[in-house]
Amino acid sequence: MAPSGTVADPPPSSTTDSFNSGDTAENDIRPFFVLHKASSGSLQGKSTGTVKSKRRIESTTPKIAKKTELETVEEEDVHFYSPLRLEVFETVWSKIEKTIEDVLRDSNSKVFNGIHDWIRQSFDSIRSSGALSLAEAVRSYPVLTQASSKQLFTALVLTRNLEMVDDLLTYEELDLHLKSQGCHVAKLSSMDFSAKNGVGGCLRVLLRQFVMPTIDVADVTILASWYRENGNHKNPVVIIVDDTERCCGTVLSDLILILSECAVKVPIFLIMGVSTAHDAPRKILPANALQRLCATRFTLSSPAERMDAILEAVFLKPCSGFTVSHKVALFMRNYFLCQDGTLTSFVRTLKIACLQHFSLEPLSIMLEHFCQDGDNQLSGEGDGLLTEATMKHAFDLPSVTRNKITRSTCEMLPQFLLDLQRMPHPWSIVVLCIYEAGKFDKLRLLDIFCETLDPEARYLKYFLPSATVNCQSHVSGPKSVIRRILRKLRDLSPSQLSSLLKSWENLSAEFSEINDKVMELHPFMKSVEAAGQRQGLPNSPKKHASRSNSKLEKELKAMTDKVAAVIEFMLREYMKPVESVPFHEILCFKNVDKLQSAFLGDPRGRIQSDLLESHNILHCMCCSQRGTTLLPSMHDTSILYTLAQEHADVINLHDWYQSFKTILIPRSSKANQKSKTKKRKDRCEEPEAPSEALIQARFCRAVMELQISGLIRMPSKRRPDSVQRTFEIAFADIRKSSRMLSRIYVKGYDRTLTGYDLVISMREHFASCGEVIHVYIPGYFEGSTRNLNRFAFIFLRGEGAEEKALKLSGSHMGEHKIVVESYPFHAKHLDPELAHMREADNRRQHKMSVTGYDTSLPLDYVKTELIQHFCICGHVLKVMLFEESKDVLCSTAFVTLRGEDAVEKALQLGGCDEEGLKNVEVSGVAAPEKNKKIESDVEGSKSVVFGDADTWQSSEPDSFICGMPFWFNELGKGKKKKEYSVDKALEEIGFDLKNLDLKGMKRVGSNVVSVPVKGSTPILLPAWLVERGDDEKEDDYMGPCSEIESAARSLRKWFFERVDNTTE
Amino acid sequence: CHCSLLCATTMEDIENMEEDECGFSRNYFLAKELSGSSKRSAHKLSDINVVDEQELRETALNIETKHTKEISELLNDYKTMYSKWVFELRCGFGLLMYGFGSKKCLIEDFASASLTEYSVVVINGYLPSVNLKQVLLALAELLSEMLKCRRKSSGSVSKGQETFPTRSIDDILSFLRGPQSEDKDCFICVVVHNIDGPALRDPESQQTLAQLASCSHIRIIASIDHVNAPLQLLYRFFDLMRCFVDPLAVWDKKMVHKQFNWLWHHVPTFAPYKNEGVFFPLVLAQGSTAQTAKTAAIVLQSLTPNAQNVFKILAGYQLSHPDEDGMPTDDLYSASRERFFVSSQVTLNSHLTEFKDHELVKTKRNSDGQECLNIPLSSDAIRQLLLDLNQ
Repeated sequence: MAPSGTVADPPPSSTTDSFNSGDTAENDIRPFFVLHKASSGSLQGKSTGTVKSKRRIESTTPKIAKKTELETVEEEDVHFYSPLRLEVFETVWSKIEKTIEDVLRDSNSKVFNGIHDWIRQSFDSIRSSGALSLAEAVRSYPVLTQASSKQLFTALVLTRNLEMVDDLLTYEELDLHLKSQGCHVAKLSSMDFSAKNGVGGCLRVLLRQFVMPTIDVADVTILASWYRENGNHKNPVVIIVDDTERCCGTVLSDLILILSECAVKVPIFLIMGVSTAHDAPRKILPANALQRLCATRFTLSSPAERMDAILEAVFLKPCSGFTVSHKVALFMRNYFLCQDGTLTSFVRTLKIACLQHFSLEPLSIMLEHFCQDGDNQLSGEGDGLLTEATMKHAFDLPSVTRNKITRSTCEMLPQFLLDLQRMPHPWSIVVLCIYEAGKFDKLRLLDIFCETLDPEARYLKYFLPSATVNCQSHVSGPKSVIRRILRKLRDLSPSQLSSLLKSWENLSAEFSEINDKVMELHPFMKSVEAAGQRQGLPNSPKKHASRSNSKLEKELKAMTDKVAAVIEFMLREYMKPVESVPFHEILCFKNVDKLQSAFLGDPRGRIQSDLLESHNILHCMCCSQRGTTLLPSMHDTSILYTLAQEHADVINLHDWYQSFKTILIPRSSKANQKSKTKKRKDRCEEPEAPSEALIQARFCRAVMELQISGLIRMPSKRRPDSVQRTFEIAFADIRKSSRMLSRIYVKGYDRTLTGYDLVISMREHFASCGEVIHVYIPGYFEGSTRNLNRFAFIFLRGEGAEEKALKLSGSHMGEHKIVVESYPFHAKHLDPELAHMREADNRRQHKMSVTGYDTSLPLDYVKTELIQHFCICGHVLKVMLFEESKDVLCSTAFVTLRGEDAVEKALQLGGCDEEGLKNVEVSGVAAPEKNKKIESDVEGSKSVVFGDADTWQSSEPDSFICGMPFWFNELGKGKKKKEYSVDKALEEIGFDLKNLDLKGMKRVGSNVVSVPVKGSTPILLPAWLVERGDDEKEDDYMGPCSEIESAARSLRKWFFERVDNTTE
Repeated sequence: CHCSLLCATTMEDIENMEEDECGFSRNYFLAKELSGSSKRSAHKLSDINVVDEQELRETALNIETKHTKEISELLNDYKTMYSKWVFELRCGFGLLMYGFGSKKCLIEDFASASLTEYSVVVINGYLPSVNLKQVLLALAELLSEMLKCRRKSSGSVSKGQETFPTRSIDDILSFLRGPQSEDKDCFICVVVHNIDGPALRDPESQQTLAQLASCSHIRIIASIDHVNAPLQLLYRFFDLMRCFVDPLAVWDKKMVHKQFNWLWHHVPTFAPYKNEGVFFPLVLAQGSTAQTAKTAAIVLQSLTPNAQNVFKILAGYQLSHPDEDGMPTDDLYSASRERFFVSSQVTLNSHLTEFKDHELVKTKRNSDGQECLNIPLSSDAIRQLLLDLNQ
């Protein structure tokens, strides 16, 4: 397999022996050493002068070469990775990189200018009001002592991105931008706000940036005196804090107080970057610091928007010519959406893809010609690019052989390449046109891009002569974006249509075939607009137009048909994904596996498989035949690890050693002989039983190697006879949910408490460890009068939460000393004890709050996706989700689940794959109700309903509740209590309760709804208690439930109207 | 009498398992596990008749490596990748090698065979005594030397050369960050064996390494052995807790995507972890927790000559006063000062901290309440150690 001795080694002697050379022993124990210095000879040799003249494309990849001409491997390699290849890679990549930087700069420039205008205006107003004359700045004590003079002008820059890494560049650019406008700018990062260095460290960094780099005192008066020197006072002072949320709150507030004190002398503008929430300063700063801030808000474009802009510039507009295949694009999309979420990682994947392309595809260096601006087109043999070898490789490309293009059509190669090179490429025009149409539906270019790259996409097939628009929707997959766009097209208003047409016109300006078709639509558009103006309703969406507008309707229908026909035409004629084009391999990177393994690596998986299947890597004859048995010839560590596989988390060293020994020692002389004759190769076989000392030494070394690999942990003092297998985590799941959840076991608490009190006190007690998501008291239900279970489980979220919680073991909760132990999810030893309680608990419903979805998504979509997402954990009884205002959802939804271990499963569930829901997670599980009970007012019903609106529970395990709670948080201040009859309200909104088939559900809950005087008292709207029969019937309830919920929604609106009226 | 029981079952099982060659031991293992389903195996480590520790260590040093031929073929296979790796380095990526087996020889062979155009500095991350500031200094000196050489050859006037030792880590990093030269291909390759090693796994060191990696005149080739490396993405750099649990949990997204810019390469070698394993105790010899003379010698050899001399004074005292609790710190200070090994209490303390960190020295109070220093080794071991040191 290997080239072994025949390899022509490169000049510096490097033989196989060098692997085992002994003279490096001294270097091995030095912390560091210089292996060698750059050879000066080669330094001169590789000076770039001679590189450009050498233009030759090597034809064969190293792999091919290896098979055919063994002796020239090294030679070929050197040629393959020629300086030219590196040069072209650098040209291509720097072009892409520059494009990305430009896009990002453009997307920010508006906000940057806004910030600068704001600074200028505020600065001018300070100066003109005379509050800051030069004389005053010189004075040692501020004269003005009013609170207003101590205000700090603050800009909150909302990045809408949780990942700081994407915004490093943004703040750098902002820094440069403001500096170029004459401001004095200093930049502080969250690292400067450490509690360790305090505010002094922070001031020092500031002064170093403003005054001089060697300063080492932290005195703010230096800043004031610097400011009045050398005309510095003509310009404002700006301080940028890039990652406010991660700053130490006390240090930041100290700095704000100090700066605001000297604000009268120096006009300081503070720019604070916050990731997602405008109220971030409120969370980390105390009130006295907050008072000093006079905040203005600026919002940057979101990562998804920036991503679309980058995609458009890099792949759809003329850029480098480099592109990626469908599979690669899909990998990049999924990694961005589901795992990392940073643009930075996306750019890095792109760079790796580009690199891999250059190291895998010999012809990739032709990209140089795509990269060049102007008309420097590929002219074929002219410049010696297309050598015989190149041609051979080019015509062996799969895309070429597949299309039956042969050498006889050799002269066509330049033509094909010209086609590939053609810009603007019709394909990208079509994609951009579709994107324009998709914008009305808030679709992302990323999704459209991925779908349109798919060479086997269904939409390519449904343009059969008989297919109509209607049946297309049938044919394409359920999640097809293109289908969605085609459907949405019919809901567009005339004004939207006209703007769509305009953007299409612009996009296709340089491509007459499409442009002509688009232009043909204009007369229709005009007549639609004319009809609309006659009706005086040009802007109302089509679906809401009143029936009398039949003329407009008709025109609009004709128009949308035409538009759909144009889209169809575009898709049919020009939607040729790059992978279906001959010779595309030159431009297009396809090897997603290589990309993934270089980008992510998989140490755990690969190292484990190295050990468990060592023969696959070593290719040795002796071990390959072993099947499932262990042979003494195998690598010792392999044997030991395979043995460990059959073991639980804790491995007894004695047993492990004994079984290791039995494998190494041939059983008996008889068996030994037998096996010897069987084996083809005896070299690996131990000739005789190894000595005890050797076995022990080998055992020790194998254990040590497993330890180095992190697969086992050494014996602890508590358990000296066993080693611990390291916690194995399913990485796919863990990567999905970026935040670890841990389960701990608690006992020793006061068992006479009510469930509510216990949950509340546990939440307080463990608040310092992380987010307390759920306190599970086995067997407890509201109204239970028995003592609480002896132990409970607490589910914590947060890094290091478990370690912190374990430290609380032995702490006091009231008078009781509690014991905290770890009970990881894979542990099962308490389960027998739990079993009987769990059974009852599993029959109850559990309500949990869910956060992390995009609140701008449509309500029904989120609801459906949440049901889809949680249905693998158990039966989703209902999902409650409201709109906070029009088109904006509340950030928390409530999901009610029932089923075996439903809560535990839901808590461990990672994010959802759907766009906008990738961060979905359970943020809390409803606590049991306080003592308050709302008795059912249904006569004769045995069930009792407890609860505040957000914790509805039924005491009967066999029933659940549907309906809709709501509560007033902000409303009702100073308002009189008013009561309304629910039935009357229902009547008013036209909800016919009598004719609704409730399928056996019974109504509970209060009939009278009161608008509370103050804040947070919840109001119970009509609720129905459902007495559950068998499970099959449950789906039947979903219908009436949803109707009741929609009624409840209207009711809510109805009540809000009442509330609004009463205030006036 | 577990032993007799074990033998009995063994014989019986072997007779039953003529065909099923080696299935026995696994079944034995499984059976053990299942029989005590709720209770763990009660076998003690002491049930194994462990040979003398000295013998064990000597044998461990001379274990014959299996599959040497296959391993060397494997390493030869990787040679075909060398030019690709060089290409990747020149494109600005860092290389991160993982897979089972020591990758030390592989990487060093790669460096000496294919990176001749560049200076190569090797950091032995598996040693507990790595000092990153010293490494940075050496790198800065190498680079300035390289630049000087270039300027000479290109005929331009060289700038006034600065000396580095006085500067802070940040200053050195900003010098390395460059660009000091127009030529993009002007860089030093830094090989880091076991970037998850004991002296490097703390967040500060990883932060420094990340900053180093992002310098335009530096490329990093690192090896990593721990399986939990990718957990990095889960944790933020600020969470210091994690780094004790998982070595590389300290890599945040900035470090991964912007600074290190790794390309992962799976290169299992199955080569023995000869150097990397020196600092791990032998599992069967855990009765003597004290460090052996050999590991102590390795630690000491990595320290400065002055530190070694201070240690020798201490060792000499302990040998000549075997009955005392140890050498009082003050005595050690005056003795070291007399011989000009230390100039102040501060320098002595820094040496002592180093000793304590590597468990070469322990402190306790003697009957007079004085603080005493004690080497936790037997007299024989100390003698052996002094011999090793003087070689």
